[in-house]
Amino acid sequence: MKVKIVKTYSVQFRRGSETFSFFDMTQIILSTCRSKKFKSAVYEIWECNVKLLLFLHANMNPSELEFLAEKEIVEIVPKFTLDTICLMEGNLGPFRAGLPVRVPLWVALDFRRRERCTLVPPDWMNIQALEAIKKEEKTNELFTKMPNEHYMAVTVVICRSCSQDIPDSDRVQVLVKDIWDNRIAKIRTAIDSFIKTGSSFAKVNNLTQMEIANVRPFFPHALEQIHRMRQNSQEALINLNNSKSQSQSDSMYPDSDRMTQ
Amino acid sequence: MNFLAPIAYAPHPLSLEEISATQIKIPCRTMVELKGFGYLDPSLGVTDLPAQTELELPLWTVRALVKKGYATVRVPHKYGGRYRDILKADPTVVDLNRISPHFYQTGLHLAWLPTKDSEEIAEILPEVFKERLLKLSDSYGYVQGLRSADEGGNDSGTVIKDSHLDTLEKSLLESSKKGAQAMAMYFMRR
Repeated sequence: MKVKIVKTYSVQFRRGSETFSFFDMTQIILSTCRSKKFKSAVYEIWECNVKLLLFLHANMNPSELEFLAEKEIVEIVPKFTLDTICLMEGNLGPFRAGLPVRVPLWVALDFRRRERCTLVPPDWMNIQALEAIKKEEKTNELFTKMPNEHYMAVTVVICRSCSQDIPDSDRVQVLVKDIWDNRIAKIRTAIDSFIKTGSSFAKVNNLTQMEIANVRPFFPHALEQIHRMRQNSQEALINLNNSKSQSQSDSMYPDSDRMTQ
Repeated sequence: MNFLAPIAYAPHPLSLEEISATQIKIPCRTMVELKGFGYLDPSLGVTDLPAQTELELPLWTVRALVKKGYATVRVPHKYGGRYRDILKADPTVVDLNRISPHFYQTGLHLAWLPTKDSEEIAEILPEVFKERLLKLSDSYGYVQGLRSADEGGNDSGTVIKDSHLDTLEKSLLESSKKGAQAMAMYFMRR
């Protein structure tokens, strides 16, 4: 077994032509090893690793999702004239006063806050389009395609800082919230039926990130507990049946304890 | 930024939850004489524990004894037939806290003991959890408590009273509440 450090937080174990990630190795060790000390040590390392990874990776809480939503492209009409601005992600086109230009939302918000532009509402952010979307959402059992990946966050952000540019912004907000509530309710019923039938996977299309964040952390957490309980009781049942057929109990104990002889 | 990541509730073997979950007293009977263990039953007043003594020992001792064949066990009263029937009938109204504060965890440990009833316990546990989860699943999104007329102490807004919940369910509830609160705060912060 050779250990090769590839990245700071990921280690690779190699045996011949097979490569195991740290995760695989941990699972193998935890399920086959008989030494309790070694296994506790591995378990500790695993827990620390998991916590570290979770800390480092972006969490999908609403503020962060809003941050990601601000990368959406919107149209503004600048009140100034400026040549192309070169940024890492791309160029912000030449600005000519009075001519609409497409920029990311965060740029638009920044200019708007300083009163250097006016925002052109996106094509979907008017009453007619939203009413149509809402109707479609109500009649369809499954989820319909939303006009924008981050419709909720974009609406909240735009209506918060530049509601004057959106005609009827109150109505618009109410409509978006209605659509949102509708979809969340659908998600809840979907989760309920998922738990009830105990299916192993479900395919959902057209869910936006913020809706998914809404059901986190309950959904995966709950399912994991169900799974853990099922698995443990299955193992217990198998063990009981085995020890009935043998006179001596060749015991294996649940995941939380592997006692030495 | 809120750190919302839930660490899954799979207790470490030496964690406090595990220790308190295995505290439950199991009625058992010693098969052989245990030398030097007379103190376990002070009423006998002998230094060695004779065979065929009926005792109530905590789960973590009993496991070791059973594994070596030094004792046989019965399922404790709280997980017995009558309670199991109640659970099979309607899990959502049962006060799990009264049966045992770490109902599921202890149940999982009990399922490994070689008693007659362990199979039933093993079968019931996931079902009970699933039923209660379905009942609670709506309320995981609520931020404030729902006050109904007769249930005064229902702070989490769940249909099942707070005091009736097991520790596992409580921790699920807590982490979900945090997530729901983050969402609500985001929408309120116009």
